[in-house]
Amino acid sequence: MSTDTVIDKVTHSIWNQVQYSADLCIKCNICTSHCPVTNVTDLFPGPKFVGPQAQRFRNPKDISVDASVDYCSGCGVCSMVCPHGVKVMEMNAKARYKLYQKKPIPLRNRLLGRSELLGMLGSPFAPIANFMMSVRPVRIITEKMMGIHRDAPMPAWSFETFRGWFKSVHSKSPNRKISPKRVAFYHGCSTNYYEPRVGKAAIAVLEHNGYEILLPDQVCCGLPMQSNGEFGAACKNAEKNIKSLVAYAKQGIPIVGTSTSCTLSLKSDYQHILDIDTEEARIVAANTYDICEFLLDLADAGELKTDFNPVDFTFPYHSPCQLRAHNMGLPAIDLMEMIPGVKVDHIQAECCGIAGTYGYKVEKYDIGMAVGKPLFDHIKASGSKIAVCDSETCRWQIARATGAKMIHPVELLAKAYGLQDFYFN
Amino acid sequence: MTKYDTVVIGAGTAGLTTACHLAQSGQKVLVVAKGIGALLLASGSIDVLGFHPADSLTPVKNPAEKLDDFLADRPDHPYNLVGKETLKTGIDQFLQLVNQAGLDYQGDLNRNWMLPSGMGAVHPTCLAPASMVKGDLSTGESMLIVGFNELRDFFPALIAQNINEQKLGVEAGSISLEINIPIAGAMNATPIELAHAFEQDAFRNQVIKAIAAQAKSYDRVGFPAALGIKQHATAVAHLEKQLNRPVFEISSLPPSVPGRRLYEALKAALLKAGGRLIIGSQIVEGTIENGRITQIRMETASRLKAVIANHYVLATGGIFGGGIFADAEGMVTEPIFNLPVAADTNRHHWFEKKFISPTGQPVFNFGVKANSRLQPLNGDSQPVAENLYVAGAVIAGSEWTRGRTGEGIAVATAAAITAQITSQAAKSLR
Amino acid sequence: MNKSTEVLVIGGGVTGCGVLFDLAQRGFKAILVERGALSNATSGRFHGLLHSGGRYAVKDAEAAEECIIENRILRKIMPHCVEDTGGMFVSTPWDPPEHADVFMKSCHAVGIEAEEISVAEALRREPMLNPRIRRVFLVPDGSVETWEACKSLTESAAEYGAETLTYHQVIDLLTRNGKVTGAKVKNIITGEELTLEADLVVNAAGAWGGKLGHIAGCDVTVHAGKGTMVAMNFRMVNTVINRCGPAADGDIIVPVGSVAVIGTTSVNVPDPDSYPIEDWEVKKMMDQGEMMIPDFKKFRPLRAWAGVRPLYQEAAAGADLRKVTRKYALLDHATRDGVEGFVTITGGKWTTYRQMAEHTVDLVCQKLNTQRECQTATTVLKHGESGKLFKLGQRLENLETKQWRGQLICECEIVTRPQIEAHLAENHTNIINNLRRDLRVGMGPCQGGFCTYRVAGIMHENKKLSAGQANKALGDFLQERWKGAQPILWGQHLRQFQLDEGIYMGLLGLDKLPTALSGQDTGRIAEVETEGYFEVEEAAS
Repeated sequence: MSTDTVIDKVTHSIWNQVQYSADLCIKCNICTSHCPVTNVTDLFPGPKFVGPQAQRFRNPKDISVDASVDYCSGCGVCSMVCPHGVKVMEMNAKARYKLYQKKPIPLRNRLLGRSELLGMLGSPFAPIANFMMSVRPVRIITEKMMGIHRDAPMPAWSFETFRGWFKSVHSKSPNRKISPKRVAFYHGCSTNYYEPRVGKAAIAVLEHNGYEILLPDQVCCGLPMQSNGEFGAACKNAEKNIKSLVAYAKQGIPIVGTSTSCTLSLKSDYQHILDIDTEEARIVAANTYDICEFLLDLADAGELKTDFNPVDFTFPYHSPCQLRAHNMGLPAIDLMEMIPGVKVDHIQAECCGIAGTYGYKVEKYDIGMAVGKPLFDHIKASGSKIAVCDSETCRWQIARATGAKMIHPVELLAKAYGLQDFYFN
Repeated sequence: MTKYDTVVIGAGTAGLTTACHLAQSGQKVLVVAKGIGALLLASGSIDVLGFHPADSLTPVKNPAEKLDDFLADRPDHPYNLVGKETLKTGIDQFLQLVNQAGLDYQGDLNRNWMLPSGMGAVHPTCLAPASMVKGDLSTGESMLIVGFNELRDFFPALIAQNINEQKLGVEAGSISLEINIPIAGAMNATPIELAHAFEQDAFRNQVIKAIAAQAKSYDRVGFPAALGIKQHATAVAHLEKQLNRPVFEISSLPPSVPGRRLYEALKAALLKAGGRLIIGSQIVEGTIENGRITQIRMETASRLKAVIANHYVLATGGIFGGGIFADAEGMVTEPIFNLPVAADTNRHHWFEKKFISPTGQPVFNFGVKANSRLQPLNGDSQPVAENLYVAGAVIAGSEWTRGRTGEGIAVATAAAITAQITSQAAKSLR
Repeated sequence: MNKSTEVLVIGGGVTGCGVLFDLAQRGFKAILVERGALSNATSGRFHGLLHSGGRYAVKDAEAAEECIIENRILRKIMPHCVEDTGGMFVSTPWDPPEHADVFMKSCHAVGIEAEEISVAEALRREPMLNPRIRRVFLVPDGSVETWEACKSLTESAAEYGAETLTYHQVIDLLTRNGKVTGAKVKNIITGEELTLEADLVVNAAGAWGGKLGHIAGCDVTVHAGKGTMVAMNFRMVNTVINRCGPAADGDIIVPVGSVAVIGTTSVNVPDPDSYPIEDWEVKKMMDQGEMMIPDFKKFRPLRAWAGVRPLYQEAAAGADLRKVTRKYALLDHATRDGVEGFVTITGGKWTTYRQMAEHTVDLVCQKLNTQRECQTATTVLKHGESGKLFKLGQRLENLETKQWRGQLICECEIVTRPQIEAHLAENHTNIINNLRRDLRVGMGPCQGGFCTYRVAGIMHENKKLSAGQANKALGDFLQERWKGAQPILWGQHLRQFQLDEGIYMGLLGLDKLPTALSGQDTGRIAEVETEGYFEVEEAAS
């Protein structure tokens, strides 16, 4: 029995939970005092202001009167720190969606929202595409025409996609693990088109622990489209994913992913922000795991292999906003510390500033960099050439800002197991 | 499941202090909280015994001296559960904890600092940051109170006038500065933005320049409690050096910057001692088997997750904290373990006619009854579970405003529970 | 001090203000006196409904027709006070289907545009509605901002030379040879007494009209019918929701301003100055709300208050007050009681104030032997010139488009410092409650938790108040907010109040200032607020 009736399963759609939660706000401003954006710019009046406070003035029958909610980065720190259960970030996401309904969504936003398309466009031409993206004049033109900041951390395309590797190489490999214990792997766009090595590390670690990996049909989780106000397109993707993944979930096969944003979408955004209030959505959500979460659960049950080689190093670690929004703690830290010699320096910083597609936009780039500054400074001061983070966009942002090599925690495990060393595209 | 030595539910003063003590004693500790607690809203100082009786307008000068009377007159108060010695230990332990964590708190049980509030009223408190203690009204030194036109939550003229009218022997002057607070949209400057501003050299220099002349006529200078968060010591030192006189902070409307500093310090101390902190997860229920809590379940993004520990500490706060819930029908409940709550179910008895009631509102005294080991009690006055403890405002009798005892309850119960758990843990090792 | 005028209007509710404007526009010299602030009594304590007439269509066609006519007029003359929420009449499983069967026909018969929509469509428009509803009819209900309206009326009247004196209480009526010749009034704030001489006195004192009539020596029976209402913090519906049945307690939810109001009860009270809110009334409102909106009780009630309806009866009655007509009565006491110079306008409802005023001033013309045409039906009032109807998002839009600048003092209800300072400059009381009424300061979820301190500080600065005066203004307002909170104080709202208490006592130490300085024991500035309060039960129950 819980304090908040928000947790009770209400009779109608889950929209009620987010909308109702504005009712819970007692104006304490704890959210505002922790918001990484409002602390660096006066363009954003704060989560309380654009969230539960403005919510009382939003008539669903009228067109949106909002403007400043566009500067919310969607990091979710507000929802996390609120002691009353106000779903501030979710409320802001919906208000932003409504805001974009009254004006055409800029082409730039549509493009940034379509990470799968971007991946597909660049990957086959990876060497050339990457070269072009590193040429200053090209970046300046992109900035002027598309509104994508010239210094924004564009990741390098990988010629070999993860899916391509899995299908043509891995599934044909005699070493591939077959087992009654199976997981369905949700790779997401970043692993597929930019960092297949993360996916490979995850596969290696899971197989080492006795799991067979299945690769379900899947499309982009839709979060970038959702963050840019394109709920319709995001819903289409969501429904495709749910349809494909529920088949596995119903068989008791867990869905595991290496992108904390993708897995958060599957766990929560589909229902709470996109209002996909179906039994299938709930089943998929209940069976979705972040890779570190999954592995730590195995460890707690005494089922994780601990044949690690020592790695004597102190790794600076950034816990991404989208990971903390899973509300499950930070499994990566406990997991990494199981490796002999590993020390984790958990950086006390709220947000790296990239916030998905936010920090790529020319009008928000500086805000993003200001938000991430304490984090960047810490890594630079540590002198470490390598740092760890579970979220891909954070890795790209931090790498660009500090020059450090960035890895996903599962890559450290793969290395400690002797399965895959660090290598970078 | 990851097994912890102790799980603390709630990240307020009581929860974090208990968790830090236990983690520093070598335990594997997890703190889980639905959000960040009242720490960020309160003044940042530790009130132990401000007034007795509660409706008195004369502050207690020496809490240690008044304690015996207080304990005798208020049998319902949680101090009676722990006793005077443990209260003293709690204060000492807390002081040591925060000083080690880098915050210069000062004070002891034998005196109350008389600090000026954001209305110029006298706020008697036992432990406070050095930056606030320098504003003590009992020294008789004059003060210039500095506000900012862009900070809507601080009115220096009103504060100064109220101080002067009370004839406390302190002469107070005031000035409000027309200085732009960077990063604060004109509409929304809170103390947090001002605190960030005070961490900038340039801003401090602007302030110094604006008040230097006038400050010469006063013994000390008071500011809104916003002199930096991480760079607090630097900010204060710079101001004091340039103004050549002590500088102090005055608490006003939340969010509280001293509270924030305290939160960050306790959090850092917890993590440094190997503890873990999860903010944003609500604990929804616990399982009791054979007189022990065997697990609690926390709400993650898409499912409940079990958390297992040897000991559990409930530090979820009273009604404000969400640890006690009072509904329309008069039912008052503790939502996680369904602990019996000492409460009056007749809503007409919950409130006094006056908001500024000298003895407080009865409803805010509702809470869980506990024994001297801080174990919550069931209807037969027996512990509900041998490994469950209650700390802070969730305990019955913890109405914290009138007597000004709230933080005292937090640190005292933290000390008591730490002693209980560490001795239990030691026993189980034998 | 003496003043003389042609017509003295007693009572500053919407009717009185309407009469004043009509008088002034028709060229009469007129003064209005009101013992409190404008609209502080019945006009300020109803649920805010702009009737379409649907509530009367089936049982009282005449009243229904009056409503729809005035509904259309008010949208034109005071658009800034009217929100076009639209209305729904919902036939729940607990409503008599017969009423629904005749509803549309009855509406159409008097010119009310009513249209039946499917339940699915209704749920699409208002997802919180009870899916068990059987039938739904749309009508042109709206909601009104009464203080804006009274302000516009008196300011428009001032442009024609009329004068409005608030905080002026009638102590006595002046009579000479069986004719009322004016009134003696007292300025409650300064204590100054004035004698106001008039050719004619209009009694627009609403539920107090009987008392006033009595002073004039006329037998006027006006029942005080208490109605309790609850404002919910969040507009879970944005359309007026009516139960489709005979009038009953708690059968309407009105989204008005930033809240949704559920009302109301009907209890005869002997004294219009005393109407405590009872437990059962609040419970009934919440239970009734659940029937229209199944999750109603999960939402946070913000405030409860009561008002007294003026129910005029030619002869004394004890029966169900709802059966006493809501029609208004215009009494010429010369013909009725042999007292010249005195007329009473009483009863009625907010929506028809203008028509009531028109008929009253027609009578005034008659009695003062002048024939002047009423133009109020087509005159746009001050502040309504843009023709734009009120929209919920107006204040937010003003902030977002930077039309409103300056510090946000009341964050909950969006009130800026320049607005507050302008108000302080124009008005002469130190009562924060006045700002609240006009600007909505302190009316949001935190009920003054943050803004009260800020407003007191601003008042202290701008009005050069002493610290004691500022402290008292602060404490008084907090007490005023407390009174309206207790009947509905539980759950999350109770947490709010513990925070507010923590701020004002724990942080600011308001409770520990010396009594002389806090002003809490010196009695209140005379403020004729008579809000219902939460009665502390005796031990017996």
